[in-house]
Amino acid sequence: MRFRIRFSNQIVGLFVVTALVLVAAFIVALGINQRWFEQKHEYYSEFTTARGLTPGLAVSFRGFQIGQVRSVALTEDDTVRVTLSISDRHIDRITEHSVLQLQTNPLGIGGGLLLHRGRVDGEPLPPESLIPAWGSPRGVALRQAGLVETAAEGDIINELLEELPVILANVNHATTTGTQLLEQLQQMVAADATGPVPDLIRNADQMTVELRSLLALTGSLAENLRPLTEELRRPEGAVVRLVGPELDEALEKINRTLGHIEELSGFAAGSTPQIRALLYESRDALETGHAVLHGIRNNPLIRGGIQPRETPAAGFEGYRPEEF
Amino acid sequence: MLGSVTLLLERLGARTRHLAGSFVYAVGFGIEVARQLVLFLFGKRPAFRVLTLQILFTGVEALAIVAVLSLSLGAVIIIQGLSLLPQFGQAELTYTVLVVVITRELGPILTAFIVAARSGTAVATELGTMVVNREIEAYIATGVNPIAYLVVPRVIGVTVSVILLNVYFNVFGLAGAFFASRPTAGVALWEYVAQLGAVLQVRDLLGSALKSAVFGVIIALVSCHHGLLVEQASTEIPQQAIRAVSRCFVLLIVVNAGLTLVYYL
Repeated sequence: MRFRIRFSNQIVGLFVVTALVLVAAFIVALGINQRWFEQKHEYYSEFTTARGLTPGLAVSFRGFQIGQVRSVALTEDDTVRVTLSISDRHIDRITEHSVLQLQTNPLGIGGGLLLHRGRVDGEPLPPESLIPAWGSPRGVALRQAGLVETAAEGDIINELLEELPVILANVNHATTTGTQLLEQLQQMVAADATGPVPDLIRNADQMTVELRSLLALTGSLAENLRPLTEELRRPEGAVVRLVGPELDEALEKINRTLGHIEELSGFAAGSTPQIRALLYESRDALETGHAVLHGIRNNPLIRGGIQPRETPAAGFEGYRPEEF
Repeated sequence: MLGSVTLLLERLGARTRHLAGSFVYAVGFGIEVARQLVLFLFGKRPAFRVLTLQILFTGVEALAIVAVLSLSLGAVIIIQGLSLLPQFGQAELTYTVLVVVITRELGPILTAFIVAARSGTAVATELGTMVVNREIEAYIATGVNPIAYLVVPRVIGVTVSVILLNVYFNVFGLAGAFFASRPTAGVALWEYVAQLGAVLQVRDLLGSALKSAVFGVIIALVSCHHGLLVEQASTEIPQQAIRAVSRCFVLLIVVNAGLTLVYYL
């Protein structure tokens, strides 16, 4: 009998036992590697969508897996609640102000949750606490306040995609505000609206009519001005012919008068030093005269003043009195 | 014209009757095998020697080809993964791809293909030869249930062999991946084990084992069924063997797709 037939039981037994040992080794290795018996702490986070979020998704910190997603559920207030389990060895890294960033791949494969630790020293965040999502209002506020360690672990496309909901929310807000503004404007211009703005808008028609008539009048004036301008422009025109000689004569006189004034001004400007000296001398003469008069008035010999001069009567006074 | 239509209808009716009869026979065969399987598992095991030999022929003797195939396949996958995936910035997915391909998909299906090609034909040929040689009638005449004595040990043996070969396929495949990644990417053993352990889940192993069990049952049942379909002539034996293998392949592919779908639901 052939060897393998004779010892078939032993060979098959070895074949089976070896396979079972290998399976057991696999399971033990998995248990050690995945730390099945290690204590885990649960946290939760809230996202706007479950896209890219699946149970078993890795939660990593600086490239190392520190936990995984336990469950993803839609709550009654339409937010996506993600429950995480963080291994006991990494619990110290879950500090206050920590933020979770969903890293997705444009190809639809890979991805995970990245933990960005808060810039706070102290006790770790208690289990069952909320870790804000990267794009949530609270996460954005924490980041803008500089309370989050934002190590660049993801690629730029992911970061842009993360920012996209915030941008879209802002655009949505702006659009909503614009829509409300338009609705208010529509209400203002409605026929039954009251208030200063509706009155103004309602009077706009009348104002427009008046403005239109004013413009028509202005247009006719402009039309009349046009031939006048043409006539003025032409040297042989009627206007130039009517007012031309008198105008030239008047302008010639004005020109001569201006020349005289200019000469007088030049003379006055040239005689100013002599006039000034003459004025100084006159003032000195007046002061001397004043002193002489003062001395004469104080002289006892001639006290009593100077007799007033009598004007001799004229020989012929005329036919009429002077007052006439 | 009328005659040809009548002939066509006759052929269609005969074909339908044949298919219905075959289906009923196959269902009855499966039910009888299941009943005898329960009796085998929970009662006396007079055919335990047959079971041992079946595992020896199907499992142990196929180990070499499974090992070679899985070693080379694991090496190819890791080399392709390490060269291709980093270009997409997804180098860490190499191990995920390795687990998905080796453990979840190719391990069970390739092992089943190997067993179907080797042992499926052997079982069908052996049983067909026994039918031609009137051995089956001899078993019945002596009061031995051929299903209990011939089919059930083969079903269990093939199923167990496929499951165990799948375990070896995984081990050798992952080992081949390590041996290939060591010189090409300089991956250390513990790093490799850690990376693999991070992505490999127990459900992957269980899913792979479940697939293997289903594939083993399919191979054994189809092979035994076609072997026992041989009636008189020895020329029917290779025909039924070929049919058994081709039908096994088709069923394996379809069932694999269904099980993969169920896994991801």
